[in-house]
Amino acid sequence: MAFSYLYDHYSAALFGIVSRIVPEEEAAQDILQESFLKIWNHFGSYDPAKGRLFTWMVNIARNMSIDHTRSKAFKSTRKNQSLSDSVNKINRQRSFTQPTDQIGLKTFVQKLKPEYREMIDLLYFGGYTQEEVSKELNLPLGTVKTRTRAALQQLRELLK
Amino acid sequence: MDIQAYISSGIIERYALGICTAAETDELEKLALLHPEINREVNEIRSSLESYAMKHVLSPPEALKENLMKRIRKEPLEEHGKIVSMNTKQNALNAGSGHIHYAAAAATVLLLISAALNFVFYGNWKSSEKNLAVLTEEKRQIAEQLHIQKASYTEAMNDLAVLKNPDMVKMEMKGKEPAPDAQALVYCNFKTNEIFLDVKKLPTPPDSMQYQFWAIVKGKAIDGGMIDLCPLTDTCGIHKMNPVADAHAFAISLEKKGGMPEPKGQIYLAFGI
Repeated sequence: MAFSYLYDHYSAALFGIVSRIVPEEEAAQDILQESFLKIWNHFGSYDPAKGRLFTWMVNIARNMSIDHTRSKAFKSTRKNQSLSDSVNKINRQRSFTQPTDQIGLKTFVQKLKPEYREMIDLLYFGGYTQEEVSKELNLPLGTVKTRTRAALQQLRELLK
Repeated sequence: MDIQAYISSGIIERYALGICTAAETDELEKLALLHPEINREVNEIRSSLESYAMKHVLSPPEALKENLMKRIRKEPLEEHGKIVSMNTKQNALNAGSGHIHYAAAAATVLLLISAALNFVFYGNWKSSEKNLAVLTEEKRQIAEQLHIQKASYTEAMNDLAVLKNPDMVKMEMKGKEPAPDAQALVYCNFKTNEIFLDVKKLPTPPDSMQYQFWAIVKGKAIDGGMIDLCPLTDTCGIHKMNPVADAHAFAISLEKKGGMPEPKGQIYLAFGI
């Protein structure tokens, strides 16, 4: 079955991303399920001209995860809790429950400049806008913008 | 537009991160179609982000897949009615296009048959045209023959009329010294002075010579005309000669071609002499 193939190939990658954004195990599982249902039901709207299938799937999973964190943050009125704190919390949590298939991440991440990693994590996994990051990290927007580009350039170099 | 400046502006990174505004996204997707270098940049940044994401792979619990599979199977069931109705529509469309395909196939077959028949009919027409030409020619020949037959029939009827005339006197000429077997009949109407000659048998004359007919009136030979023998039968049919009054004897002599005022050559046939 096509769905089984899709799931076997992409579930771990998507679950990794979802878990990065939504630390709670159970919620992350729910989001993964909802993401796959959405992917499955909206498969017809995937346009290969606009990018790879994985990119499309990642965007669905990311958006659902970000929507979840935002609505949850709104509902629980934990607005006072710093967003960067929550990302840091993710990092901390993950470092404790690091699964075996993420071992390669540690060595990789060590090569990436910490401020770059922070930038990528906030923007890519955290669903932050650059303006939000600017406020959050107390950095001028221009700096955030140049740092974003520099971070992705280094990431690209490292992954070459 | 300075493409390099656009690339280094950081918009592609923001696009790959999914934090562009809708307007920026539109512009970038249009530019990516026009400029391959933008497209390449987008793909590279995206794939490095995806590779980074892949480094976070985390296997979800086994139960999750089973649960999802159950839900997937259940959901299409709810939509089964819709699917059927869509299929019906699809079938209707297919049926429609099926008719078109059938019609197209039928039209093609008919065209081929028509072309084949054209070929056959053209061949038939050509041979018909040929046959018609042959038949027309045959008809012409038959008409010509009919004309000849008619002419010879008229001639025969005239001859018969001559012979049947009660005023006509028939005289049998006798073969002389050079050709004792020679035979000829003279018909003479003494009322009208008409003379007919019917040569039955006479030797073929040499090329330079011709038989001449003479009517004898009071011991004097009068030219009755030249005799043209049919080269195949050495006869002349019933031949009308020059009218001569009061003739009491007839003779045929072999003379120089064209004839003589009075007989010089040998007498071949004679009557009353």
